[in-house]
Amino acid sequence: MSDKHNQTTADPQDEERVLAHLKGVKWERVGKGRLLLTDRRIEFEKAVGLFSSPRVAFSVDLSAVLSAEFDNASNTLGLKWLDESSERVICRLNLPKGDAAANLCRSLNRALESLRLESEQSARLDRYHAYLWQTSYSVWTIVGRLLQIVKELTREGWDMVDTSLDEIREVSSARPELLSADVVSQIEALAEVVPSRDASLVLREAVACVKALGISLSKELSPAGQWGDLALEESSRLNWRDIRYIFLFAGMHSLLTARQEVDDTVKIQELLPRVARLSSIVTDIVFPGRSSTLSEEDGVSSAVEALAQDIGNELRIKAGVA
Amino acid sequence: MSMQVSDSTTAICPRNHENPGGSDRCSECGLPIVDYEMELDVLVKALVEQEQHVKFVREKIFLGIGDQGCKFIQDFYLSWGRGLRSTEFLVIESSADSQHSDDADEARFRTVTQYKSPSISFHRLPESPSKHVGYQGLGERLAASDQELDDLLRRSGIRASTTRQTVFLLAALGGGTGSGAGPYALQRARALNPNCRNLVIGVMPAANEPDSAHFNALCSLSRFIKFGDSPSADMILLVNHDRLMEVRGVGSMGEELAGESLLSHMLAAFMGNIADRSSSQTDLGYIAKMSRSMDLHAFVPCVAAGCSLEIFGGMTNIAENALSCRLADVDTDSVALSYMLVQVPERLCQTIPEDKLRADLNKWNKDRFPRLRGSAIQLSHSSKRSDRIDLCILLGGTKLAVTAKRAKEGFDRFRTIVESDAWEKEFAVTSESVGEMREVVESHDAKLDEMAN
Repeated sequence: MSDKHNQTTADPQDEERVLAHLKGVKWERVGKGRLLLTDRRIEFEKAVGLFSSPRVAFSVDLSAVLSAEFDNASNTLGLKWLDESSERVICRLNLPKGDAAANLCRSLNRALESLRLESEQSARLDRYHAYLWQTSYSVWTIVGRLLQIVKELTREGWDMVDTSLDEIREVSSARPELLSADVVSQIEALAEVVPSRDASLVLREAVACVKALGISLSKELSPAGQWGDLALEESSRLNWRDIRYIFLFAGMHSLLTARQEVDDTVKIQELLPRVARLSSIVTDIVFPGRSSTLSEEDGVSSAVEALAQDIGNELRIKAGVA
Repeated sequence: MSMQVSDSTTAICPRNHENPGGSDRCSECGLPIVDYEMELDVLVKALVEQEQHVKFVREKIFLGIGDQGCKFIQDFYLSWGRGLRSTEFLVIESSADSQHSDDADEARFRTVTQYKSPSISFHRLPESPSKHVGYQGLGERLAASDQELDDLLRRSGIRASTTRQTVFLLAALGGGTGSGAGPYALQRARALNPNCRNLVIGVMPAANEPDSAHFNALCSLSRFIKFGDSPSADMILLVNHDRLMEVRGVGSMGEELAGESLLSHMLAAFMGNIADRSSSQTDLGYIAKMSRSMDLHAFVPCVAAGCSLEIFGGMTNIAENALSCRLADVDTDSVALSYMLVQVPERLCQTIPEDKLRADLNKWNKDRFPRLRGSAIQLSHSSKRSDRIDLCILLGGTKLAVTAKRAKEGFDRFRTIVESDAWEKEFAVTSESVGEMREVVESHDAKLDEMAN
């Protein structure tokens, strides 16, 4: 369905580039050789003899390099890195005098800095995606419980209303940063009217919660401002925009289930195609590469229910909720 | 990130691909194109539409408190209550009242909760530290300590937004739960909905019951008449247990009505149920409001159920029969109000035209009650084939010195034998509050005397 998760074309930028190399480098106890710096690694080849091929004494991924310090006075380069068994290795290399050595060290520092920034950005992106999944799961849970409240109101199931409200408040108070201030205050407004046991009043506040949540998701940026530029990135992974479809599916599917329970055929006919369309989108978001098993003509409530169950479980896992 | 906005010329898919306006699916990724704002609107509107399914207005709430109150409400529910609209039933027992375990109790009521509407709910008061609730003060204290009571009343539909609401409480006043928790529950109902009218059917203990039971009954009456600064009940229908056991009536199928079934029949008549199950022509809540405005609280019901016109010969004789079938003693000289609920088969309309029927009953009222200040006759017709007439008269303004004579005597005797320091410890009242309760009953009668003069 979507092509974003199936990109297989090799990127020419993925090829390793040589940044600098330097001959006449001496590694104490090992001997002289050549130092090679690429955008991915630093490598020392020990010269063996005139007719023998040089031997690689070390080849270290730049990501494993802990520090690289150049001493101008002694013209030495001190390298620290972690080997395959995560043991710290220290290596001191005597570089030949001249601009080439200084250039190599500058290139090395630039490459390491760039790698550090890239790694930080990647970690930040991971945190942002974790935030998006957690928000998705919160939205999924809150909408599901709000619709449960609406359903229970039609039979005055106040015990279930209380339980659902507790769950909503737990989600909202545990991670208030996942929701907009409007949504949080609307949830509190709902909590205030539930003890009145006035079903009409409670329904109005529950609907206001759903609306506030929907409006907050219609905005182009997440309520948490700290993600800044990341939120604007077009990512092949989960986007802020995707959560609105999760929200819509949670709401529509719960509504469909409630209407199916009372055999409201008119509403069922109206909701089924909507749920089927949304299920394709949400399946693509939550299970990339898997196509939705629901067709728009699908009238089997168990299929909708099973899919919703799968989505709920997957969202919980992705949100890191035990 | 580009804006996820679709206009008439372009449609944006969930993957942000641009498509020609009106596209159903994305030509690039194949995903459906959904207009988020529109779908949100559909969802919200569908939820708003649910309002029609959640508009529960309970105009009548039947409350049974204590063992006898619960039994009566259950009996009424099974006989008549299931046909009532906008109604809720709630029964409250204490642990001491119940002979069953929690599960057994719930199972007992579960048999009658299979009906969707109206439903009957069961609640048990918190357990008393002394394991028994033998006195009015203990029952009131237990109810006051019940954290769930307000929520329970709200769940039964008592709320300020319902302007026309009547709570019918039925309790035997000789035990601790009915006499103590009953007035407290009504006071809470009034606090939750100041518009609600509270009507009590209070069964006074039998004459041979110990004085402690009569003490409870008088304390309870006092609480109904004055709880804090205002009455907790607008109208108290006093039923003497001994009288209830003596009076007999005939039901619509010719069956004998006695005891609880007679009370059920009477309450059904109040609801207009005897006439036509699908309509409620009598607004007892309105009568309760009127009674309160006249500061008349205690009423004695007089029931003539299933009186054959052929046998009795006329309405006056049926009214006379009702008075002889009063459910408690009446001081006819102090009666100030008479409410008559008459149900006549439609086929007798020709025999006794409405004008004549009203004139006969009005004359009878005047002859019988010299200090009558007001009367109302509520007439309804049934499609019954028989010539049986049901008449229920509620006589208001009767003195408690007469109607609750035995209770007053028992109260006074009981008061003399209790040591002053035992009141709080054993009965959860103070000797001062006991004195005040006695005063409330006295001043009720004194007020009637004032009105009569």
